Amino acid sequence: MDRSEIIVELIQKYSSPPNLGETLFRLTEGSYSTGPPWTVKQFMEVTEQRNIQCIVAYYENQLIGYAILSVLPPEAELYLIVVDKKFKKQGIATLLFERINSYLEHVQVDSLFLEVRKSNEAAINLYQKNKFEKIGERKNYYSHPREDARVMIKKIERRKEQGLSTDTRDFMKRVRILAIETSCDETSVAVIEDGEKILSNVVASQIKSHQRFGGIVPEIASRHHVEQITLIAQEALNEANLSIENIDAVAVTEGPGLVGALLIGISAAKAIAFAHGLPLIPVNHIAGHIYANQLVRPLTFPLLALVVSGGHTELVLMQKDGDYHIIGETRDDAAGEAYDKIGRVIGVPYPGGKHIDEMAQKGEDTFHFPRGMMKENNYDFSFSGLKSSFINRVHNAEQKGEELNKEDLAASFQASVVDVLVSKTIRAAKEYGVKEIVLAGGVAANRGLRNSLSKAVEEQLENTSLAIPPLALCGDNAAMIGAAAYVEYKTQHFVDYSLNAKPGLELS
Amino acid sequence: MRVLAIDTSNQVMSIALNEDKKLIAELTTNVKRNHSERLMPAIEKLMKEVNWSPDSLNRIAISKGPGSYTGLRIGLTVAKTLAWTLDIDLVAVSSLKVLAANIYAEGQLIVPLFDARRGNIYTGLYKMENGSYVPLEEDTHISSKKWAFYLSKYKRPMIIVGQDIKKHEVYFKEELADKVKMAEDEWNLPRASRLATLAYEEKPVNVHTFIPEYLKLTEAEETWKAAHPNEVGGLYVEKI
Repeated sequence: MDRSEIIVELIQKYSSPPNLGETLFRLTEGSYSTGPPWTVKQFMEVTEQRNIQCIVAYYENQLIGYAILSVLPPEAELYLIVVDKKFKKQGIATLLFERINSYLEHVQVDSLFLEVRKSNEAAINLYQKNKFEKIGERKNYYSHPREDARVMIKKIERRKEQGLSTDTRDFMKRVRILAIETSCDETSVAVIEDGEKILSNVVASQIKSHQRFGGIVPEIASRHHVEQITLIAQEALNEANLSIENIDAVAVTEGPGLVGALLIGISAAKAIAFAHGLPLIPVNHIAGHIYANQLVRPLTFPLLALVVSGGHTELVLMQKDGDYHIIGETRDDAAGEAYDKIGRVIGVPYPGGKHIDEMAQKGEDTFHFPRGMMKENNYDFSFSGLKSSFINRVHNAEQKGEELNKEDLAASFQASVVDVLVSKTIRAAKEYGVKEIVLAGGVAANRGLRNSLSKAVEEQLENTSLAIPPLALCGDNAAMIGAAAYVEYKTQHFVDYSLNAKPGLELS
Repeated sequence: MRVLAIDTSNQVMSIALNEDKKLIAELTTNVKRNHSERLMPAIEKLMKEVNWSPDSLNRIAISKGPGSYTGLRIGLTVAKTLAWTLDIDLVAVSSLKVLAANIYAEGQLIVPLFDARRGNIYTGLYKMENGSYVPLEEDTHISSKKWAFYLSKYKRPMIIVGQDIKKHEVYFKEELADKVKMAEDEWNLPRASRLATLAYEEKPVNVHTFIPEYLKLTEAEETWKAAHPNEVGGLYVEKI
C-alpha cells in the first residue's frame, strides 16, 4: 500500500456525504470485538451535532478509518477512533491522531480526553504511543460486557510561530464573513472582518410601510425583503470595497423571528454559499444582539447579557464565547412589546418605544405603577401587570373626564420597566460574579435604561464593566450577525443547504 | 447555453437543467414538503449528478407566480440571488404559462389553474400558436365560478390543466359543458423542463428589482387602500 495515497481530512458539515452515518457504522462493525458501540441511527444523529467533528482517512476512495470527537474548546473528547481491519498496523491511526492534533490546535483546544475498556490493551498501547496519559478510572462504565473504563488525557501543545500548522496559518489570515439578517422588518447585509471590524453594514428599514398598519404585517415584511435582498447585498460588498471572491463564509439569522422573513435571508445565503462554495453559518438572532458589543471592544467573560427588544426580555449568562445560559426571561410580554402597546394607548406612532422614552425625559414618576416580580427570588420578568395597570389608569381618567399628564404617564411607565430590569440585572451580576454586563437588543437604545443601568453598575458593582452598544447597533442589523458568526467560524460549525428557518429558536 | 430552471410556485417542486435547448436533468416532486429545506440541496445534487459547476451556468429561469406566496419567494430568492452573485441572466415566466406549456397542441385553448382558497383560483387563458403560448387573457385571481362563466363566451373547446381542478371542475362542467376537458393526470404538474424551454424566448429581467407576481395585495394593504384612496404610496423601505 502506498502511504502517500492516503487522504486524511476533516469532514465539513456543509458538504458531508449523505450516508455518512451508515458508512461509519459498516466500518465499525468489522473492527469491534464487542460489536459496534452505536447503531446506524446514533451514528447519523451524533455526526449531525454541532459540536461533533469527524476526521476520516481514505485510501483509493475507500473509507479506511475515522475518528469522532466532541469539541468544546478548550476541551475535547475522543468518542471513537476506528481503523478498517484490513488496514490495521499500518500507521493509519497515527495519521488520524496527527490530523486530530493539528485540528485541535487550530480551534484552541488544550486537553483531549478519552475513555477505553480496561482490558483493551492494544488500544491503550496505541493511546500511550500517541502521548495519552492515564488520569483515572470509571467503575462499571461499560455494559455488554460490564467493565471499568480507563480515562486518559492528552495535552495539546500549541506550536510556536515558526512551526505553525497549515490550519493555524489559514486561521490567522483575516476572515471576512458576509452576514445576512432578515428576521423581522429590516433587510440587512454586512461584511465583518475577524468578528470585530465592520467593513460594511447596510440596513433597509421597512418601518414606514408597517406604520400604515400600526404594527408589523408578516406577509408584507416578507414581500419587502424580496424587493431588497440582492440590492442590499450588493451595496454591502460595494461599501466594503470587496467582491465575493474575498469572502470566506456566509452567515445568516436562522431564528428566532418571522418565518417568512427569515426564509428570504436563508434562501439568499444558501444561494451565495452554493454559488461560490463557501461555508454556511446559521446564527441565533439573540446571540447576534449580544455580539453587537464585540464590534466595539472584546467581550470579557463571564458576562451577563440583558437582552431587551420587541420580542425578547432575557438575562443570559455566558462563561465563554458561544456558551449561552438563560437564567431569566419574561413570562408574558417582552419589554419592547409593552412599550408599543402603551404607546398605542397614549397615541404615539408605532413603534412607541422611542417616543415614550422622549416623553419620559420630560416627566416624572408620579403614578407609581407596580414593579412586576421585582422582589421575587428569581430572574424572570413580567410586564402584563404594569400594562393593565397603566391602561386602567388611563381609562378611568377618560371616564371621569380627568386630564392626565402624558409625560408623567410615560415617565412612570418607563420608571417601572427600568427599575425591574436594572435591579434584577444587578442582583444576577452579583450572584454569578460576572466581569461584564452587556446590554443588547432594540430597547438598549432607550436612554432611561442606558442611564439607570450605567449608574447602578457604577454605584453597586466593583470590578464589573458595562458594555452598551452604540445606537446604530442596537436595532436589528447584519453586522452583529457577522460578529456572532465568527465564533462559529472558528470552531467550524457549518451546516448544509437543508438549513431552515426556526421562528421559535432558543439560545443554546 | 446552460439553464437552471426552478418552479416552487406551488406544492410541486421542479428543477431542470437544459443545455442548448436539450434537457439534461429534471427533478419533479409532488409531495407536501418544505421547499426551504429541499430546494437548495436538490439543486446541488442534480448539478453534481451531471457534473455542472455553479459557475458554468449562463441563465436562471424562474416561475414568477402566481402561486403560494412562501413557495414563490423561496424559489425566486434563490433564483435572483444566484443570478446576481454569478452575474448571469435571470428570466421569469408566468407559473400559469409553465403549466399551460404541458399541453402541446397547436391552436388549442388552454386554461391553467391553481387553487387560491375560498373558492378562488389563479388562472389565465393561453393559446398555442406556432409553438408559443400566447396569453389571450391576463393571469388573474378570481372565483372559479365567475371564471367558468366568463370563459363560456369563447364558445370554443378548451383544456384545463392543473392538479387543483378537482375542487373546481363542477363549475367548468356546468358552464362549458362538452366544450371543456381536463388534462391527463401526469400533465397537471408544473415542470421545470417546460420552463427551461420557454426561458430561451424570454428577455432577461432586472435582477435587483425583480419580485414575484402575487396577483393579490395582502389583506392589510387592501383595507388600508380602501381607507386611504388618495394615497399614492411611495417609498416604504428606506436605508437607515
